Amino acid sequence: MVPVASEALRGSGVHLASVATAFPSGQAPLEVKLADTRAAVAAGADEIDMVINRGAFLAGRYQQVYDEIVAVKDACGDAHLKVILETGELATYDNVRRASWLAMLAGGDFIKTSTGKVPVAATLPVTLVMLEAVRDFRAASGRQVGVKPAGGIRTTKDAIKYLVVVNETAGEDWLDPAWFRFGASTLLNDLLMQRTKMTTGRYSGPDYFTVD
Amino acid sequence: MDIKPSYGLFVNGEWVDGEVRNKTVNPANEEVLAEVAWATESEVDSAVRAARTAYEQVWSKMPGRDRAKYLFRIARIIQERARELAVLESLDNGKPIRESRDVDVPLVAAHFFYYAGWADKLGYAGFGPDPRPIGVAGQVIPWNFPLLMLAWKIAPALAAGNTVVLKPAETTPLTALVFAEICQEADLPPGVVNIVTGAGETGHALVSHPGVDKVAFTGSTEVGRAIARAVAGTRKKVTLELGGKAANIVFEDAPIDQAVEGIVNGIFFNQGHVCCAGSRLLVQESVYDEVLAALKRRMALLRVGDPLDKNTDIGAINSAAQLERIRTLSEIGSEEGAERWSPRASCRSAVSGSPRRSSRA
Amino acid sequence: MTQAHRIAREEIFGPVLSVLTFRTPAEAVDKANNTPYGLSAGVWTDKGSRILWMADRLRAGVVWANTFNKFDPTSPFGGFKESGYGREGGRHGLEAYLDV
Repeated sequence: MVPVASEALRGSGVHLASVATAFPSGQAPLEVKLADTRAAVAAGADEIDMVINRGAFLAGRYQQVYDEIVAVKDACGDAHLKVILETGELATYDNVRRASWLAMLAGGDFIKTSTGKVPVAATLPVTLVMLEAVRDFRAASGRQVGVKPAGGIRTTKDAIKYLVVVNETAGEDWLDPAWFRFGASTLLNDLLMQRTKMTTGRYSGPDYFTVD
Repeated sequence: MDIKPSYGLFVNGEWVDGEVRNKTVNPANEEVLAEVAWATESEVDSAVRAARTAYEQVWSKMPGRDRAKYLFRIARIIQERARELAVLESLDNGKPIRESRDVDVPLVAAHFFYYAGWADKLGYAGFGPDPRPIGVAGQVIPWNFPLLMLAWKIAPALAAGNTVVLKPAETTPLTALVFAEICQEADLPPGVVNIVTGAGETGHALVSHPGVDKVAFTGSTEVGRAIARAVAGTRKKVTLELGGKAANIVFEDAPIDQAVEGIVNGIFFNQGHVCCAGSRLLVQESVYDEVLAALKRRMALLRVGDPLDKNTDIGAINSAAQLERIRTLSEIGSEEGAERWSPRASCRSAVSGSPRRSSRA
Repeated sequence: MTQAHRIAREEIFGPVLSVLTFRTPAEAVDKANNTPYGLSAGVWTDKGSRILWMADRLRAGVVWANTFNKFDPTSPFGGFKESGYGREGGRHGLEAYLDV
């Protein structure tokens, strides 16, 4: 798919992101993950989404998780690396904070909540913890890391709540698509509806917008 | 919601006009909200007499399960009228609507529900098989949580079988007066609850009235001492809930972000008008810089503004006199060499008129 | 600031916070108790044992652990020393209105 998309987007200014590393489970030998990554980058992906090895993380083998992220980052070359923590399976906020730091220390450019393939996706408290982590990480290291809550954010009103948390926790520097993004296709639909409502004063049916 | 232009005293289930009239204002913009009575000694006397009659003839004889019915009824009406009470509390007191709506009023209802549950189970409370009420309670409450302090005082008193005469603070009488309406709505027997509005003199007349068997006071240590002197040498029972200077102690292993939220809640909840406010922060030296930096960052995000705006974190200081007291003590702090820090003032206000009394956090 | 400052000793009843430091838990207890008042206190730590150790020694009617300003009708409330006399709330609050 990556070459097809790459061809279609050529010269459009739209960046191309691809999942890699045995998405969505993250359970495959490292060599497979790295080959997957290199293939996606070679085919034209500007951004790689990887999933951390949750089995290793939950078993306390943090070094292994860290080393894998470092290796994938290396395989990415110039492409940006987005590290998906799959927070819905991390069980505690302490774990979310710990995984965030692991991903940032290992070189991730973005930390993302979820793959969208497990029942619990992004929540406001989890996003708060991740925003605190990127804020503290920048204070400690000087490097800014982006945050992407994905899944579960369905309405414009939800999105505004998240943006308030971004502003109040991490600060204005993160209020930029380069540093904070939503992964939520339903949200786009609602946003378009709200925009139309603001210009026309009326709500249209969802049929007039992209319905997924 | 309707605020009447003028309120009287609630005595023996009826409204009486009251000889001395005064005004209560909205501290956020100093607009007059209503005219209220300041009860004189003879008016306090008739309230205490009404309470005595209700105690002897009705309330102390009533089975606990029937008293419980009235208390449950009051609790439910408070829930039904929660929005109205929250708005009124914020108007008269200056506290943010977020707090009156989410904290004060729900806790008020919870208190009445809780003590309603005790009314028919007093024999199982560990005070003997058939504990008896005391009689008429004279209760004086402060302006920082007007309706909640009323609930803390009235709910247990009524559950135990006492009747009450309650004096709300002179700057925040309105929710107590609406509570009187709620008592009427609940068909509470006349004289069981009497509300006498007024200032210090009314309070003094109440606590030193010989017909009062029990004095309950919440407020400053200074006034508490005066009350203790007034009841000394009498047979009156007394409870006093006075000032504080609470320490909020942060150890190095504490989760700093959560601790900062707790520190902010401790001192900025209700503009710091809380007897148990965490007004002294004790930080372990090893995390002092980290905690202070996080605290300053968090404080810069607090919104000072119109109490009725649901985004407001810090509303209005309750009175000009209180604001003056806070300023004076802060000035003394600076003069004595304490280092002072406040975030840049950012008072967002939508109220008409200038929010002159808003605090600068 | 230090404990000698008036603003660190007197009740201000407004949005003003006095900040002091300590090194050991014992010093924290000493400083916390060094007041004529004794209504409430807060302790923030990860250690449950330290919370109990502190709560035993703090001369305050309420000790909140890893929270603050939390109220409930079932829990008694009231002060030590110049913070008052008697308890309100809970079963204890009932006693104040019974002839016992």
